Amino acid sequence: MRAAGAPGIGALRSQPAGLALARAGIMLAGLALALALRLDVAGGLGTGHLGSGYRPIAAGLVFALALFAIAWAARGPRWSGSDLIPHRHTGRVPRNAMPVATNAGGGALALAWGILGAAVLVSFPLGFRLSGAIPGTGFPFGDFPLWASIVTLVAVAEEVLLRGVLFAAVEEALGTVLAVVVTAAAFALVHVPLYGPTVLPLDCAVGIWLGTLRVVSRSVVAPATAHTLADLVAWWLA
Amino acid sequence: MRRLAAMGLATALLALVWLVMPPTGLPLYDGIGLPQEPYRYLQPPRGQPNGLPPTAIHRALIVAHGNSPIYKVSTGESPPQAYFIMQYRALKILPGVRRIVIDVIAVPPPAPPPSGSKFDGNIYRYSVTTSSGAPVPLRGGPKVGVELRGTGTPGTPTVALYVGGQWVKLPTLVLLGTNYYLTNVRSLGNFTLLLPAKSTGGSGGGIGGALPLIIAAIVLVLLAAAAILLIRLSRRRATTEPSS
Repeated sequence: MRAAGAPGIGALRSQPAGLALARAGIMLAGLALALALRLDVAGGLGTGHLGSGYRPIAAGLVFALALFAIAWAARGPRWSGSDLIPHRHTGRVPRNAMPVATNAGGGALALAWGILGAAVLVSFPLGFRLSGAIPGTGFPFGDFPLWASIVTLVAVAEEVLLRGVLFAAVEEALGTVLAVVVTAAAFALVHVPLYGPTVLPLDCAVGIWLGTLRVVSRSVVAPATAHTLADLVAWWLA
Repeated sequence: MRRLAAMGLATALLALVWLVMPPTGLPLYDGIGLPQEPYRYLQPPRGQPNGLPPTAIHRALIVAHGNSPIYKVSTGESPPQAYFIMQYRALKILPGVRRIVIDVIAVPPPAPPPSGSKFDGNIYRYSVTTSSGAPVPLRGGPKVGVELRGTGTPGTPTVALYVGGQWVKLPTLVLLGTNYYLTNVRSLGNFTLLLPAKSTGGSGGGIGGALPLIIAAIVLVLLAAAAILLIRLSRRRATTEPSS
């Protein structure tokens, strides 16, 4: 079942951790470049704001495509058909395998984890919103489909890169705990230019939470689902 | 079981951050940003259409043991146009005061902008009063912040306070990558953003203008480190591989 040309698990384990670390460094550099590109397209660089109209949409699209490209280019030898997890029949996964659940049982379980995760992520802002501590009126439905499609693309791209390829590389080099920490820090820093430094503690906590969800669910599908759904709900909470 | 315990810990951390952080409007976990509505002017400048009116803040807080709480509140636009931020014990609470009221409202300009400057948005009147309407003074030190959103006009505005019959520019922090400008204040009153009247294009320097250079420097350092690491590892592998 292994993809043609893909190395086996045994061969992968013999890969020096330093190479994985180097790949992680390249991914982080690529992430910074993609962010700069996003801000530039949005009109954020040098003007102090993120633009308006369709520019954020275009910027989101460019950013998501850039992240997918980085993830694909830096995926490393672990990204192969035989490494997909979780395995329905055993529930076990090869250590440090690229975690994308594709078989039906594993995929459904990961999706369930993701929906549960979204409920947790949304419950906090929803509580504040209902109590009146966070102001907002929501947005009309009209622009939602276009906005939602780009938001979904961006959220999935971020998760594939951060909790997928980058997580696997850092985990191989430095272990699971540091993989959670590094990806959470990258996640938080990515959002600072967009939402300001005040969101840093919250996005760090969310990044740790999504990383833990990835570890618990053994799949990048769960954090990607949770992340996407939590983003989409913001349309009505804002 | 260990994994579920880890999940519980991560959830507890998330809840803690949510509870400790002052409410700052809805922070997105990610996304492309919600659509920015146009700036809401109290008195639209020439050429600007009459949009929705700006919103105001009117918030009553309970004061416990004579200590004002840490608090951040914003107007209701998306994104908000004005924030009021105060640290713990930022206010001098007189004995017997149990409740304070924070008001932030857009008001007509009390005076035209100083020569060589123009307003970048509305004038906001900030006040904190007791239930009876008596003003609550601020303690010394940088404990109260006024944060205003710019209209997006090119240039870097400065926060100004109307005091003594004139606009006084205050030290202003440009919030990195955003259109917000923050200052710490020792007294409340009418605040606005002032732009140089002839400002054209660019951020005019400041932190925002340095952002591309900072990002480029970080990227170069990371790329160089990764390249060096790859070369060293390749050489090491070449020297350790058994000759066939």
